[in-house]
Amino acid sequence: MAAEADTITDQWQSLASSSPDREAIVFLRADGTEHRWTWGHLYARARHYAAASEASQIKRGDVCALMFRHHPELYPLYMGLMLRGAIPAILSHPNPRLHQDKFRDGLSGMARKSGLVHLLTEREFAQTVTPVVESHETTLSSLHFPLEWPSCEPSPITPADSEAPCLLQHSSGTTGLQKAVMLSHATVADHVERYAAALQLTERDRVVSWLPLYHDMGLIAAFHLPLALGIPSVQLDPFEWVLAPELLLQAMHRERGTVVFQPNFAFSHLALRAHDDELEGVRLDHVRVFVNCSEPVRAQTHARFEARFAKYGVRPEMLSACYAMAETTFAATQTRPGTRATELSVDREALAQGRVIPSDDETATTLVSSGMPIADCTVRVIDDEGNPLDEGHIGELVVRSRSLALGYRNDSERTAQRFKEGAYYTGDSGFIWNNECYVLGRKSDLLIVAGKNLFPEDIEAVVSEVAGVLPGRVVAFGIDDEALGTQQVAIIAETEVAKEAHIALELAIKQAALAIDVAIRQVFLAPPRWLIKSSAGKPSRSANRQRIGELK
Amino acid sequence: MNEELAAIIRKHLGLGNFQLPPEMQASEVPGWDSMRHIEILTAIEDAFGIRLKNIEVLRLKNLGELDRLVRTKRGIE
Repeated sequence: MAAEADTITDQWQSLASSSPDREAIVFLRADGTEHRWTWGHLYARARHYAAASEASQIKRGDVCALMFRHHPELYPLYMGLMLRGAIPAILSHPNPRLHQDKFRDGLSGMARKSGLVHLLTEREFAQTVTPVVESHETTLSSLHFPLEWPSCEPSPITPADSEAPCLLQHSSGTTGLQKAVMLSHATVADHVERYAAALQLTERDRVVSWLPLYHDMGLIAAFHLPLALGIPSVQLDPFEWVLAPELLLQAMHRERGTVVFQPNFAFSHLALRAHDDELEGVRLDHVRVFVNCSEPVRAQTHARFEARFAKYGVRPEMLSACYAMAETTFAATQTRPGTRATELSVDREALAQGRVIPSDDETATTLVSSGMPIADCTVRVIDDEGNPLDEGHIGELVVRSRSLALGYRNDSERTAQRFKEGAYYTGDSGFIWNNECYVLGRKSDLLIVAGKNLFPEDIEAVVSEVAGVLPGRVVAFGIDDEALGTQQVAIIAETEVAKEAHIALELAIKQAALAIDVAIRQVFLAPPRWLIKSSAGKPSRSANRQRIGELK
Repeated sequence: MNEELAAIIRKHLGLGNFQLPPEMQASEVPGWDSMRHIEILTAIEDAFGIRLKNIEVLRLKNLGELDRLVRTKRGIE
């Protein structure tokens, strides 16, 4: 039996009428600005947006792309569109680093693939996005600036059908190549309830988040989850956080935050960059869980975070982990709150051969569990032929969940590859041990940099166009950054230019990648015909990566 | 823009003799992403023996303002 007939919008309405003065969302900025939305104010504001969107010709079922920087009005606007019966989809906004044309290409590709109808944004981005909306080929029919909408008397809300789509979210990745999943009211409402149970959330919890809402972890875990449960969430600016990570810990102290979701690199970033003189008076004793999610969880990162912040009240049992993806709404597995995420030391060589053999040898590698499946979800492991594998054998992780999306929007080919018989084939490699799930990384060459998926093909295509680089003779891959607890992007490019011009060429390559918002950490230049080809005739990423030592 | 400061940034990002005018924003400097940002600040702190708080740097608009902040911290102006 699917979830009760309850819709997300019904839940909001009932919270607004039963607890109008209770805090719903606390919006903070580094300059001290804050906006505290109570349920009463938030819901009233959402109703304004529902009526104003109707007046702006936004119809029920229209997919509305939202493109905003950190702004207190984004929350009621998003909610208002849902009350209207439209389908909000939050997208990342243009930033100065990204070349305008590249951004537009990405947006038009996404509009077509995801079937976006309206684009709602800030006036500041008008110049960047207008050409996309005005193009003849786009599915986008209109551009709106909702922050300028005149105030509207609330109009009656048409009750939503629980099976109707309520939101569209994109898998993480390079803009334009992201895959869109549509989720129904029932799916989201049911999912957050089951994930809340796995986290043992109570009314006393408060979520604090710096995550952008265009990421599934930001949208589902740090926004929908607390909102549905009526517990407050404290929202920080992702761009401010990355430059001043102590803002998260200060907010947790001040707002009595108990739950945080963030990718592995963020734990390292905090441990390395939040200095003691920036944390005076901060206490974290009241925290329940730090959930590490969205990129492989590293034992060294947990150890470093724990040691660094023990004096502020961080205890080992606060360190938790989750395995999640947009395709299953969010969470598939979660470690038990109040217990430190299990670690397993295994033989490194056996692991490379696909087998798990516990070892306490000095050369062993330590892996961190992402926990057990949440309710009504199973994770199994299969080999390359699709045969089930026993515990302790590495293969592809396959998730069966009641929260599964119906497939990728407008992409029947990818849907057929990934969604089969009620299960999602993740493309992630991992294994099960003592009923707990361990995620090792991607089966493919996909890079995960600071929680964001990058396709090497995108980076190679851009670098290939740089004058001096031999076209098609480029490979991009990830190199481990132990200190930051994530991967960094490296490339090898073949060139004929003289040694004296190498620095200028490296610079041109880095600049070209910036246009797609990718920062290349290392450029290795190689002479013509240096790159080894794979059987498919293309330069092999893994084989060439092994040889970078020869280029130094 | 103080040449010593510019040299630290260029060296750290492998920029050769790339020009760094005061009105340039960090996001326009090749390789200066959010992850490298704090490494660059640490290099500046070490070179001049000063302490730059994250929040002070967050408020800066461009390289010229960074230059001014570094000068103030060094007691030059």
